[in-house]
Amino acid sequence: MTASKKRFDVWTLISIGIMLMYLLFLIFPLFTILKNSFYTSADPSFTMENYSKFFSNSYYTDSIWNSFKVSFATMALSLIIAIPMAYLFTMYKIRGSRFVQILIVMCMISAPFIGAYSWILLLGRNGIITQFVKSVTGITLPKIYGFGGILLAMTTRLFPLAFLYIQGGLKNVDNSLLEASANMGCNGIKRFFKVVIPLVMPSILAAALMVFMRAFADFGTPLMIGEGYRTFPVEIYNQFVGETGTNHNFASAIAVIAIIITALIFLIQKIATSKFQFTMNSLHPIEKQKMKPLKSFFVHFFIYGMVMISMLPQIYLAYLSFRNTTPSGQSFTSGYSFDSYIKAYKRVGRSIGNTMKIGIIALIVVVLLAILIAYLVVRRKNALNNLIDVTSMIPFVIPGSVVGIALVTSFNQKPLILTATIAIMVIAMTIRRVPSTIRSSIAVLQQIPITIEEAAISLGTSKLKTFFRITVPMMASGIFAGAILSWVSIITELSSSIMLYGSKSITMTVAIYTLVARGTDGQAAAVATALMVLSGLSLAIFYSFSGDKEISM
Amino acid sequence: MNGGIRISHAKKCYGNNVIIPDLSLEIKEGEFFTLLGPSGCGKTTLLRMIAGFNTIEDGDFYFGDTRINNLDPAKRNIGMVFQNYAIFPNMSVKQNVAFGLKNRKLPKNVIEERCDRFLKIMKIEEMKDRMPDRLSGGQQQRVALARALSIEPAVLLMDEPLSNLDAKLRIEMREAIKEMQNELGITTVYVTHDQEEAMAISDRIAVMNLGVIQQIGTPKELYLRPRNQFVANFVGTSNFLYATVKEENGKKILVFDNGYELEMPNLTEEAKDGLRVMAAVRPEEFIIHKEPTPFAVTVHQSSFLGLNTHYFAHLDDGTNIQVVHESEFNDRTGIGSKLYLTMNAAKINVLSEDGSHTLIAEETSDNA
Repeated sequence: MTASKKRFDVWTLISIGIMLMYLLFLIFPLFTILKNSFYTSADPSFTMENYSKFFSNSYYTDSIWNSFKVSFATMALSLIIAIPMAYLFTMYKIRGSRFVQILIVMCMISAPFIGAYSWILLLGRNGIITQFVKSVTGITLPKIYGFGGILLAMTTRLFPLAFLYIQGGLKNVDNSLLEASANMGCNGIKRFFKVVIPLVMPSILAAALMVFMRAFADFGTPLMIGEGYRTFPVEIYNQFVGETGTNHNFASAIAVIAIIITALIFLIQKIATSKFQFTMNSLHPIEKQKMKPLKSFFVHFFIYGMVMISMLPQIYLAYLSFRNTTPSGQSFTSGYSFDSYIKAYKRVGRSIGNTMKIGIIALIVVVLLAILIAYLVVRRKNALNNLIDVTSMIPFVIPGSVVGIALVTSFNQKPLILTATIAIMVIAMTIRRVPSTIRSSIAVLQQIPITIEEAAISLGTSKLKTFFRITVPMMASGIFAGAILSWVSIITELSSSIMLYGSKSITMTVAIYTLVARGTDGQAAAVATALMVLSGLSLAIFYSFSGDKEISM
Repeated sequence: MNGGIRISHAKKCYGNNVIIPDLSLEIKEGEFFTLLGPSGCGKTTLLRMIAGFNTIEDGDFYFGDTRINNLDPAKRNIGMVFQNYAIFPNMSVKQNVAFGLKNRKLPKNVIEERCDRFLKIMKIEEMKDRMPDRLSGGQQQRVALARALSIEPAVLLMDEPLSNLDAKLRIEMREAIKEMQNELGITTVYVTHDQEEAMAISDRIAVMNLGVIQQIGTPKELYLRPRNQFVANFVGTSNFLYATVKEENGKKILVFDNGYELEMPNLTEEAKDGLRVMAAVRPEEFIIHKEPTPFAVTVHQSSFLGLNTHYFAHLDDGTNIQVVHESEFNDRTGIGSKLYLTMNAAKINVLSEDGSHTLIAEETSDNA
């Protein structure tokens, strides 16, 4: 649409620069694992051996099947909890709804595997609840390890995500639609299924996809609580750094299979969503109603109960972090102190600085890239920018551990050796966080009429200056909200950083993982709690800046 | 700048879709020039080509003697006012107005002085510290105007600036714009689809349809002497009636299909004996008679609009006819009653049968 469409200007340079970056840090690494997957270390010729090994051995194919089962189960259970919860939240006045909302977000932003770890401490073989129940009733609780534990840990962490999506969808439902359906004799439960669910179907499908993808790619949870229940990401990790001897080529093949599967899921979801395309203009949001006492009790019981269960792991970890431990740190003794914090700081103290450094640099790069790409995609439609748009979304379907492997195998030799550096961690975080930030930036930019920029240009401002003086400030508030969430997910990331870290670039999540592996639960709990506080503070900043606005997806 | 705007053989296409095939036009310095046409006629496209926001596929655009085809929009020295105002929401009224001045790195006192001057001209000086979200639509449009004018542009471009305002405010702003333009004498190109607004505000108007200029002229010329059927119908409304030319004793007479005859002293050479023509008759160009005339119509609907009364009537063959007549208290014309009409030969227009061109001989308008 713009005059400069055909002209070569500063934006053309930016397009080319971004494309080159993607070629180097995304396409090239992905190509490298694709290439590696067709070779073996023993034989320098092209071969399908890795793939045939994978598909002919039920030991490996089971891991796909397991991943599917656990991801679908997590998705289904999360939706079963989140849909009624979001509905009740939108329809009725809930006591302390703002507090509950914040707690729900807190559950969501905890590091993936920390929940699993804490559930083991609660319900595992020596778990406090297991022991308690056994000593009181003599009953041995069913064991938490394996499918059930993964499902529990993932669902309590991922249903909040689904909740936020569906709540966002419900906010767009006009009250008059509900009134109209009541007017035509459709009310209560019937209306919930016949009117409300179809109206928020796009949000439900989006939520389903997000939950499935996160569950499928989650590596920390099954590693921690899975015990013999092997899933895909764990298998990739084992092949890559495993104790049984590493096989990078075979790990690459599994990574390629993983990408194909997630891409297929993504496509299926897109097709399903396209069947529910409609626009609503909500003039009158749904008005929250008061409930009768009995109903109110059950509704509050359900909501508070779910939130408490989900918060339990974090609360318990915070408690453990203050307990005294034996000098080895491997078991708890009586009394409370800051000992675990002090010991943990001595051992992995640099991880705090690293996490902050990596997080801040990655965040700046993510926001800058997202704004630039959003501008190119929305305001400068051309073939190159469409290509950038598509390319930038690729990481969305790539599990974090695959990003990690791809980067390690691509940048471990001259001319570019980046392994174990802060730089490679920043690159990995950027690649992983950029797609969602781009999406939200595009949504923000599409709301801004182009004439405002044209007005600035006609008043004699250069294109670049218009962008920084007019466009960016108008996008700022929308981007800020997304940036805080990006920040939180960067500092709680594990699946790619565990592939990439070195002793100098260790992050807090990796530190927790290594402390858990050494059996020093108190110290792990201390770092986990510190991370939780950091996330919580970020969230507080989000709420104080965004005023009354709630986090919505 | 002097010499106004000159556009020769402009062409615009989006892909294979030709929006403007070949358009030439000249706008005089200091003129208030309006591009008028239905939506999709290419008027906004042309304006944005002048502004530099649309590419120019072919042709030349001149500001005075300077060819501006490849000049950066930021360097064209234009002020632009947009349909949705395009006020920077993150700046106060005064910051909006000062924005263009600061870009030109003018000294502080000049910026202050010019800001104040244009805030005063647009009558918004008392709200200079307000943020845009606390302004009404009309006030926002005043800010947009002050901002566009403050850089003292060579050309002011306005893209349907009043279409988002309510009817009353639209007339008020229309007068404010006209007053400002008279005072500053700035060359102005104005885009609208509202023919009444165009006539009220413009020195000259170009009527456009399908990317082609149908006629350029003063409001008076367009209304009284439309050059083709499109203009006759888009600027005001016209009744289109078929007739045949009859030449008798060197006089040219229009014979309408219902037998009514009217002598026309101002037809061109082309209007020869036996030629089928299309008469364009405005509703107010009919004269109503008490006694029967050959041009009788039956009224099927009427609207009383105060000053005038509109009659919706039809001929015996079913052709619809609109007649406007000054309202009279004693008017007894009801539904079903007959109106006996004649026409004013000096006022009506005669077009070729296909409506493509006029058959009225050129005459010198005293206002051309």
